[in-house]
Parts: sequence; C-alpha cells; structure tokens
Amino acid sequence: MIKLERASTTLAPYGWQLLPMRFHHLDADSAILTNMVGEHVFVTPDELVAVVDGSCVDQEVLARLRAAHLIQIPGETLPAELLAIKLRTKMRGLSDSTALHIFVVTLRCEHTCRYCQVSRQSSAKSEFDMTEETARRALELAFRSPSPRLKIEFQGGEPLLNFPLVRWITDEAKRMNSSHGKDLAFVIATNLALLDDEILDFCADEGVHISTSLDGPQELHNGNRRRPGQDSWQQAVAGIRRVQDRLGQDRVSALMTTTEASLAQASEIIDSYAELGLRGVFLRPISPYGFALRGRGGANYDVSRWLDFYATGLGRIVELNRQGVPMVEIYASIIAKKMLTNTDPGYVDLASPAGIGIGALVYNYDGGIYASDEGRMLAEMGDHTFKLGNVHDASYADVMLSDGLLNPLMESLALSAPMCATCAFETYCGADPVFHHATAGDFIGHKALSAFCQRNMGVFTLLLRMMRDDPYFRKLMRRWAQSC
Amino acid sequence: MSAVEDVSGAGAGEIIVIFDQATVDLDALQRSAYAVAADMTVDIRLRGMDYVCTLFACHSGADDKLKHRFRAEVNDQILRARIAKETEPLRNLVFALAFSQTGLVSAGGADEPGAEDVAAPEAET
Amino acid sequence: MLKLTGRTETTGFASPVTDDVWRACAPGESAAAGTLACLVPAGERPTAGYGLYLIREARAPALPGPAILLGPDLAHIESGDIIHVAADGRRVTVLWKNSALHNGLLLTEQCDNYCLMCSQPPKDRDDSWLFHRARRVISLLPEGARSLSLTGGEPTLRADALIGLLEHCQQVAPRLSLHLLSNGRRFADPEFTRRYAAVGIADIMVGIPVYAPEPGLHDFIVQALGAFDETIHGILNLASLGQSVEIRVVIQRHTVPALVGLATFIARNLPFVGQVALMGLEMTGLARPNSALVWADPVDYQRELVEAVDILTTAGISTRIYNHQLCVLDRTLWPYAVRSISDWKNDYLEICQSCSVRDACGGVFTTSGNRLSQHLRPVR
Repeated sequence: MIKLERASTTLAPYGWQLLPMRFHHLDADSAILTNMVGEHVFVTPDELVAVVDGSCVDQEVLARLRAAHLIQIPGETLPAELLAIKLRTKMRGLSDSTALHIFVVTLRCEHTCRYCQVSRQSSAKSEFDMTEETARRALELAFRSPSPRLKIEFQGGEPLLNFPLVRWITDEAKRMNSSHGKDLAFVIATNLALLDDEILDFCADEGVHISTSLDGPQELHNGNRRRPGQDSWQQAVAGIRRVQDRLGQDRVSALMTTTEASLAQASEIIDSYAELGLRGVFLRPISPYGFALRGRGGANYDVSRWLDFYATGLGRIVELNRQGVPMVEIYASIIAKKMLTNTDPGYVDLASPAGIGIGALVYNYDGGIYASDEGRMLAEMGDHTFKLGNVHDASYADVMLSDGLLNPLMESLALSAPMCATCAFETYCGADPVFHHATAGDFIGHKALSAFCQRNMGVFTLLLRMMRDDPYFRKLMRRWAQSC
Repeated sequence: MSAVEDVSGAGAGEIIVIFDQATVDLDALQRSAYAVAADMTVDIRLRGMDYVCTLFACHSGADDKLKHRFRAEVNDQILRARIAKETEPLRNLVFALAFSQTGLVSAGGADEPGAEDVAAPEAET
Repeated sequence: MLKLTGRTETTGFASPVTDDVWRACAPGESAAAGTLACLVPAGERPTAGYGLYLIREARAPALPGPAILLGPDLAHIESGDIIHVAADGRRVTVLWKNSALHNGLLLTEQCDNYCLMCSQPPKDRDDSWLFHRARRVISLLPEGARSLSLTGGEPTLRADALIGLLEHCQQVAPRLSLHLLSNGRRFADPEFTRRYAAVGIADIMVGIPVYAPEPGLHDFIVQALGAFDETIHGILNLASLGQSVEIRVVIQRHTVPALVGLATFIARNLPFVGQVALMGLEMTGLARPNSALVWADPVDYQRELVEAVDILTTAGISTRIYNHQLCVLDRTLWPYAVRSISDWKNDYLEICQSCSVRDACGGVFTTSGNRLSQHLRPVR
C-alpha cells in the first residue's frame, strides 16, 4: 500500500541548505537558533554544529528546523516566500509613524521623587505651564503623522496641575480629528493625589485612561516618592480604587520604578499590585537620567542584581497565575509578541529602528520638540542632541527629516550594528540611541559594555529557558503575546 | 576548526592564544575581540603563519577562563561567518520579496496575504 | 444511521425512466417544476402529471404514471430529498437528504494524492458522469437548501468541470453555503485560483488537509512528493484573493508527534485561515489495510491535542474538533467538539445508552467497524 517510503522524504547528510539563522548558547548543553523573523528552535551545541556543517542525521531535529524556516532543500521557494510575508507583516507599522504624542503640560509637581527625571518646580510657578497656542501647534504637528491611531499622553511634572489645558487639548484634538478620522486615545500619567470628581467625570466622558506610579508596598513607595504629608502611597491607592470604581478595572494601570530599595522586594511589589486588582506589572530598570544620577535614587545597582530582581518578580507572577490570578508582566508580554507573532507591539523603547520620533514625539511645555522622553531629560541636563525643534517655528518636515532625527535612527539600527547584526535576539530587541549617547557618547554604544544589552540579553535568555523547560510558562507567554 | 596552540607566554603574566592563519581569518578574530571587551582587551599580531593574540584581563581572574572565553568566541564567530556566507543570497532574496511591489500571485493586481491575525488577508497599501 | 441506497420494485414501468435524478415532492407541488417524483401518502389519490411516483406500500388502484415502491430501508425518503433512480427503476439512491445536517456530492474518485488513511481510495477511471449528476442535483435543490459539500477524490482535477459546476451553483442556488474539499494543490496555479475566485460565490470555503509543518512528513502521509509545497502555495494564493480556507488535520499515528509543531506553523504562517478542523480517523478505505501504520487511540494523544488547540485558539484561529467521542476527549476540549459524523454513517454503541452526554456526542463511524478506541465508555 505504500508507494512512497518514509526514507524518500528524509534528509540525507549535506542534503539541505541553511536559511538565514543566528544562534546563542543558552547553557552548556542547550543552544537556540532563530530565523529572520525571530522564530526559535532549541538544539544542543552538537546539533548546532552538525546542522551547519551538514552532518546531522537526526531527522526529528531536521524536521523542526525545516518547519521553522531555518533550513530548506535546495531549489525550494516556499520557505523564502513565507519568511518574506512574515517579515513584511512585522515591518508594516514602520510606515505608520508616529503613534504616541506626549504633551508635557506643566513642569510643576507637588512630589519630590528621588529618581525623578524631570526638572520639577514647586507647584506655584505657572510659567512652567504649556499654553493653548503651544498645544495647538503641537496638535497640528501630531495630526501630520500617517499613523491611523494617535495616542495623546499627558505628562509633567504633574499634569493635573494644569488640568484645564488637558481638557482643552482633548477637545481640540477631537475637533481636529473630524477631518482626519484617526483612532484617538488619551492617557493621563498622574500621581493621582489631585484626583477629584470633575477630573473623573472628564475621564469617564472622554474614555481617558489613567497611568499612575506604584513602586510597591507603602514603605517602599513613600520612601521613593516624597510628598508633603508623606502620603504618596495612600493617595495613589485611594486614587486607583476611585478610578477603578468609577471607570472600570481596565482604565487604570500602574508603572513601577526600580530603585536600590526595590531590589530585595520583588514578590512584595507584585503582591501589592495584585491586592489592588492591577493586572499588569511592568518591571522596569532605572534609567541613568536626571535626578536619578544626581540624587541618591539608586542608580548604582548593577545589571545582574536587577536581573535577579526581575526573575524573582516574574516567578511570583507565574505563581499567581497558577493560583488563578491572571497577572501579566508587561515587558515579557512585549517580548512574547515579538517572539511568537508577526505583529510588532509598537513599544518605542524596544524597537529597531528606534522609537525616537517615528514611534513617539514629546512636546515640552515651552514648545520644544523632543525625539523621546529621555531625550527631553537630557536636554534638562544641558544636552540638546535629541531636540528636534520648536512647535512655534518648525514644520513637520523640519522635524521628521532633520539630521537630528535621521542620524541616530540610521546609526543605531540593530540590523547593522556590531554584535546586534549577528545576535540571535535581534528581532526581539531594539536600538536605544538616547541611552547609548548618554552613557557611551555615541548612538550605537559598544554592546559588549552596554547595560542596555546586558539587561535585555538577561531577560531574553531567562524567558527562553523558562519556555524551554516549562509548558505552563509557554502557555502564559502565548497568552501574553496577545495581551499587548 | 582552528589549530590552536597555547603558549605560557614569554613575558610574566602574559596570556597568549595562537591561531593558524590558514583556518581562522582576521575578521573573526577582530569580531571576537570586540565581543569579549567586557572581560578582556586583545592584541592581535601576525607572526609567520600564525595570529598571536595576547589577552589582557579587565578584572582579576583565572587565566584559563580568559583563554576559554576568547577561544569559544572565536569558534562562534567562525560559525557565524560560515552561516553568513552561505545564507547571504537567500537573506537578500527574502528582503527583496518582502519589499517588492508585485505579489506572490502573478495575476496582476492581486492583494497580498498578511501573515497575522486577521480574518481576511491584508491588502497592500 | 440511514441507508441511502436500496433495491426497489416498480409498477407501470413501460419503458426505462428517461431522467435519472429526481426530487421527491408532496402532492400538490407543481409538476411543471421539472423532474419531481410525487411521494404519495398512504390511501391518497395522487394527481396526474408527474413523471414518477413514489409509494411506501403496494396498492391496488393504479397510479397515473410509473411508480417505485420504496422498501422499509428507504421509507425515510421525504419531500425535498433528491434521489437517483436506475433506468429500470429497481434501485434508488438518496443523493441529497433535506433534513440532514450535512449533505455532500461526490464529484470524482480520482485523486493525485494517496493518503495513507484515505477513506475514499482513488480510482483511476473516467467518472465524469459524477459531475453531470452533481449539476442535476444542484438544479433540483429545494427552496430551503442551505449548505452543500463538494467532495472527492480531488474535485479540482477536472478544472473546467468544477468551475462550470460552481458557476451553475452561483446561478441557480446563490444563497447556498458551499464547502469544497480539496488537497489544494491545483490552487498553486494562480490562473486556476483566479478563475475559482472569479465565480464570485458569496459563501464558499475550501477545506484543505495539511498534515505536518514541513514537506518531509506531509508528503509521506499523502504519498506524493511536492504535495506540501503545492498545497501551501495554493492556500496562499487563495488567501491573496480573499478566498476562505479551512485547514483539516486528520489525527493519526504519524501526525500526532507533529501536531503541536503544525499548530505553531499554522498560527505563525497561515493565521488568516477561516478555521482549523482537527479530525478523528475514519477507519475505512485505505485506513483499514494501513491500520497498523495509522491507527492512534485518542486517549493517547490528548496532551498534544490540548496544546495544539491552545496554540491555535490563543492566536485567534477558529478551531473545531471533529469525529471524536466525548468520552475520549479531554474535558477542556469539549467546547470545540462538533457533532460532525454524517447522519447516514454515525451510530452509538450499546454502552452509550447510559451516557449522560450522548446527545451532545457525535458517536462513532459505522464505517470504522470495530476499529475504535479501547476506552469508549459512558460519561456519568
């Protein structure tokens, strides 16, 4: 009954061609291969060498590599065609710049957080508020973006200190949008201490999402985030609950910032989020800008300690999932989307080409346009490398075609950067020209010496090991890939 | 693979790894030196038929570990170079296909499928 | 389980019946509507004018035309059913059962694959009359006809006949929901795919088997080198013209180890498919002589099946499990299980009498004989 024997469809030694592939040694006995769009296969070091030199006789390994478009039979065209489709889908969003527009509506703030990267001023000085004229011009620039979706994020200082302008910008954006038809979303990044009914009503009416800071349990949070009355945590928690009650669980999210003090409290931080019904935790590193460097905010922990912190926090989140609490680690979910799908998550801080300008634009209270939030912070410290102009005299073309934007974009591109170009995780990672400029003096840095690289490699290898060894975690990553 | 000969080093405390020029090229050595920069700096010299690599540790530590690290990196770079050479044409082909205007279906004006989560394939814009 | 074909007796057959395909109708339906066979209820006097009459018991008064006496096996024939009548009237075959969940028309027995577990083994002979018959059936479909499968063999082997049949469907039954079963290889030809799409049927899905995520295993299972390449190209071509595709995976001994890899492949490379159907074996046709090669007991592959379904559904792909009994299916998979075995070949075992979920379960293939899971038992 068998015309075609199994042997006639197996691969003989030297019977295959390599497709573009990159590898990484995970452990002494485990390596990973990734293809052009980041699909991965686990192999042993011996299998890796045997596949490359043509001597592999393990048909099961060869079949897995064929399925993942890492090898093919000479003359096949389908693998290249499928890779091309997937690649094109992944890169599709590039032509849809710029989705995120950050409006710094005031520099005033009543907190004095130790790690704050914004030049904060006491609450009284309204000359640090954005004007309507500045806001209007910024909106005009924002609407020049090809992106079919615009997310307008209000930051500060504390944006609620200039709430009238927040309201004005929202109304004006909607009015302008009647001739554009884009999907508009609004976010307010606030410490919630100033939340009142008027603001809540506004958020309810306009579908505004609230993003707040929650560093962890009370002592940790209040230790980081100083406020007259020392009640930042209480205000945050009360505010979160208020927003959840009034607008719904999914309308408020929290971001933590990691400090020296955080590093020993990963599980406690996760639990404090769980207690508040906050589903998403974003375990972030501290960045080397602004007050973080100047103050005692804890910029001096090293990457491997942070990675331990991350692993502990992630482990706690997995454990909570097993207990039926569906929490998500957001950084892992962004990476999961890159690993497991052909859709780009659009996260500006882990993208190549970098998210500067094409992913996000920042409009400072005085009209200054910056390629990223970090770029604005550098300017506060006297480094204007990432300032792209001012809304009062720059056109869209001036901003988006300037050398100030294009040079860092091109020079930092991971696909052509030393080490990144051959890194197995290049499709999961990003370029961070602002970080490397600030720490290494050029847009590309030296990845062997880069904390950005070390941190991300640590996260990628941790996630991959967990996926390799734990089917439950694989399932979680699949879910998480769809959640962002 | 490369023929590697260890020499304890003429100078005191010098860590040296030697590669046969016939089996390892300079590009692989330079890339390797770049990649291990967190642990050591490497001086590469040509001596006769050999590349002589002198390793200078960035931190104090076992000499052996440094040699291991460098040799392992060189092996990886050689593997990478081999993969790159063999796969370059296909890599270019995939990029060309990905960014071409004509579809994979030769009938004129056909829309492209998008390999992502939509009920219907996406159209080319 | 229904019998679809049977021997019949005749009265009043002066000469062979001219037409071979008829639709059974109730008395009163306009005889001028075409080849309608009047189904005469007991004791009634039928009106004249029909080309054929169908009766369920012998009767003394003569009928106004040739009549066929349906035996007890075919007593289920009702108004709206479409039947094939042998020229001498001595055999009747039901081609379309109006009350059935699923109706299929066999278009050919020829095929260019030779799947190890094929339930409809290919026959290499001229059976173009099947296309003609199908055309007749479509012309006679009753008003409420909603869906139809077109099966084989490989229907696309006769490209012109198939396109013609689809065009005919579009003309006379435009609201029909069509399901075309095909190995997909012909669609690798962009011109054929273009012709297929140009027919413009609003609701048609092509069901295409893919058994592995790479050619080595798939080509072996379908016993044809180059099949995987053509099939996937075919799927891509269909998708690029906005055509709906279902991927069908028969779960058998060889496909089990590759099931998770296949689900991953579909989710990553073909996520636009309209549906994935994971199917249990029908142990008939080639599956019988090959049973040692292909048989897999469902209880032995639940882990792979659960993971495959998770991969597909998480990626947003509509997923169904066909031809599996609920008692051998992981409970988490019950929401995906469909009562899919055609009425005429499904049955339940004695032990199923006391099963609490019998009504939700599709039962077993009668065609599988006693080649069934060792673990079938009533669910409490």
